[in-house]
Amino acid sequence: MVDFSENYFSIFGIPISCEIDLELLAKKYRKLLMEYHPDRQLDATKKLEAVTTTSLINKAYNTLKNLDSRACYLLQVSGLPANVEQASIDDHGFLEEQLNLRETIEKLKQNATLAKELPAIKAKIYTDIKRYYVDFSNHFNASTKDSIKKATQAAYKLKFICKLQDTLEKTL
Amino acid sequence: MGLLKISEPSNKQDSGRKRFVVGIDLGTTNSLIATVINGKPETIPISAKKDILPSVVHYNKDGKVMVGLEAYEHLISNPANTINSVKRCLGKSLDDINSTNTASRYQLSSSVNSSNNQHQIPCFKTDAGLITPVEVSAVILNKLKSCANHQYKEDIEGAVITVPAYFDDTQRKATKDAAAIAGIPLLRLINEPTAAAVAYGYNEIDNNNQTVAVYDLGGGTFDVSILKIEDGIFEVLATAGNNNFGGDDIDLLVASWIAKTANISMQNLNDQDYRLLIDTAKQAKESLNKVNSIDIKFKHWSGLLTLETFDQLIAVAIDETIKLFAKAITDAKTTITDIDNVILVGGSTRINQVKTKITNFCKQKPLDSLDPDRVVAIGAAMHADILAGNNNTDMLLLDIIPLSLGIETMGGIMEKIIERNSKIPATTSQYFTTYQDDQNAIIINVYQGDRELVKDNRSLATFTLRDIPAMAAGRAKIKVTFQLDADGVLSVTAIEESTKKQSYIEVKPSYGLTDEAVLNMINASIDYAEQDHNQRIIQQQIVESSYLINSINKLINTNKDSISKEDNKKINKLITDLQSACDSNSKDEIIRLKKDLETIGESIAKKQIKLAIEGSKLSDFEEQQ
Repeated sequence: MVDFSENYFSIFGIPISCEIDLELLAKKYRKLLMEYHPDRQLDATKKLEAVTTTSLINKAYNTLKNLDSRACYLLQVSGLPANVEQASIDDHGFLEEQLNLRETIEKLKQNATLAKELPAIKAKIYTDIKRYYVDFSNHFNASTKDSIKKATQAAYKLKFICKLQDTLEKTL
Repeated sequence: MGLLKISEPSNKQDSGRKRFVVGIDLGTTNSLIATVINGKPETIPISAKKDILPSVVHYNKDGKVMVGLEAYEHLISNPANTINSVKRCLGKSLDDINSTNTASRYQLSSSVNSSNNQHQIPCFKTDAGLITPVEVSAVILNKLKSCANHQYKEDIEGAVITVPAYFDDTQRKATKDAAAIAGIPLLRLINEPTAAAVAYGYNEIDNNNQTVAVYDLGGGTFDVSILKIEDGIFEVLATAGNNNFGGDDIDLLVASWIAKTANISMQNLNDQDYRLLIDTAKQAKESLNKVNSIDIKFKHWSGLLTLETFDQLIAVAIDETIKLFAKAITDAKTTITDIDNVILVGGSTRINQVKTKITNFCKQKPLDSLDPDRVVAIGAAMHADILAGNNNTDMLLLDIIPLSLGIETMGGIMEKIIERNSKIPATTSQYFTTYQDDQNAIIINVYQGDRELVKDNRSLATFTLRDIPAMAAGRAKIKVTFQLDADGVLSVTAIEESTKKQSYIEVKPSYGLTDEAVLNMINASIDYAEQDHNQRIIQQQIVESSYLINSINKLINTNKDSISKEDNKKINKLITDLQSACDSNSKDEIIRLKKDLETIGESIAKKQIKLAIEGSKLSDFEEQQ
């Protein structure tokens, strides 16, 4: 029997950790759905119950799959006094870089001839996400008061840049 | 080993009785019904030779309703009373429908008995009265149902109905309502592309780890979906499309070309000629799938349409679909080279240019071994079979929400609560509070779409939370839970956290029918024919009465001093009586009183004209007497 009340990691039977084997996660996710999805229940009351359970499985899977939401969730589930929503970034270099990226994307939207720059921007965002996640993991795993503060900031940066990635994808 | 694990025949499927379940493709142009017989999916015949039902419904004065081919014949002779492409109107507002380029010429009006003043449900004005798109769809479903009953001498125990992946909440809800009115027990709504993938998954695609693209160019809608098939799970990764582009629009492009070349103004054509032009264009389009040029005759004009010209006409539109294809691939976080198979759905995918452009874009030949007109119904039937437990195949369809769901916040900003392409079922909660002491209700406006401002998105419904316990402003903590079920239909619940008191929620769909209205329609459809017809006549009479009362009131107001006291009294009495007759639905009374009121109204109007000519007023006469 799966424990749905503990945390998102336990739903999939994996340990709480920064590193997740995404293929394994997907496999476990599919297995859970085969069992709990409303379409797999023939009984009407069980179907109704299954909507709630499956919603939770979907939410848990999505949270763990994406690096930014996983980072935020790790902070939350570890019971650490960190609030990512309110974390402010005092890294001015980061903010400036983000603003510049945003401006470039805006220009790309208006001028099709700049489209050749796109792959480079995409690649940069992609590596940035990886880099900030490593940064987050290191601080998170060190688990000191100061490092948790840094992990929170890294999580905030991740959210920031993942949102940028999302905007970029929607633009195209 | 195939992608689906078919269980040994010794399992439960042989021990128990199989449930009679069907798959229904409720299409814009054509509809089909299919079922699985002895493990094989088959479409069910509609008539001796055909298994395809044109999605056309004709209403005549005597209350007779015709469906399919029979109704199609009236498209040219009586377009105002013949509804085609009703799917384009399903779950939409009057403005939505009027702003799209439909090739239909029926009259639309907003419903008069709608309880919702903000947005009214569009109705078709027919000789049989006002009819909503949901009811028209129900007539089509009802016909399909009776064909299945006739063929297998069994009642349908469950149905899977397909909808375009791009259908929003209102459109899905409208489809569900139509099924309920037609008396069809719905197992599930599934997306058309997913159904197509199921059909191919069973027959053709022979691998357990596949990424599949489904390109579906139907009569009225276009969508493309990217699916991943793994461990028996069909997961929709992303979907993109255009709800207002389909084969009908290609017909319109060809029709415009004919009109332009023949120097005819399309606007000035009468209804019959207009329909004839559209039909001619459609036939020409279909011929060009096989030949390089086609002679076209329209009225006194004749000319040649070459494949080259046709390709030029549609090039921009087809390129648009390829752009959306690319968008779906990006949304799915995958690349073209990852696509293992491309599936074609919809009659318009027979167009050579469509096939060529897809082949060039995907760098592979798309699958087309299954009939693109039937593949969706076949897949739906197969899925129904599995859902009913007739077949132990470990297969599951996992759907996503095509457009983000959000609520209106300060300044008309859309706050997203469930993001586009999220997997469903999905649940999310938001906290709300009161801003006045003892405030007992909160209104939440829910929208669907991906623009920043709510005004650019589609209004779904207004939820009014009532029975909020009396508390100081800001103290109430109301947790509102939005839940999308496996069909992608939204429900909302709310609870005040400190008192654990559940709020009563009133739902006003923006463009859909209220649950109450649907219930009424279901009840009405039970004793269909005669009574339904009667009801329509009454409805019609009520509408006309309200117009009449309005115009009589105007007449009285503008001629206050020239109407005799006696007439005035008479009119007021007639109006009151007519209104109460309308309220009590007494047909004969309404007709009698309406006639009386019309007569007196006419005589007053005549008197006014006469007096105006003579330059004196009735009141002058009265004073003299």
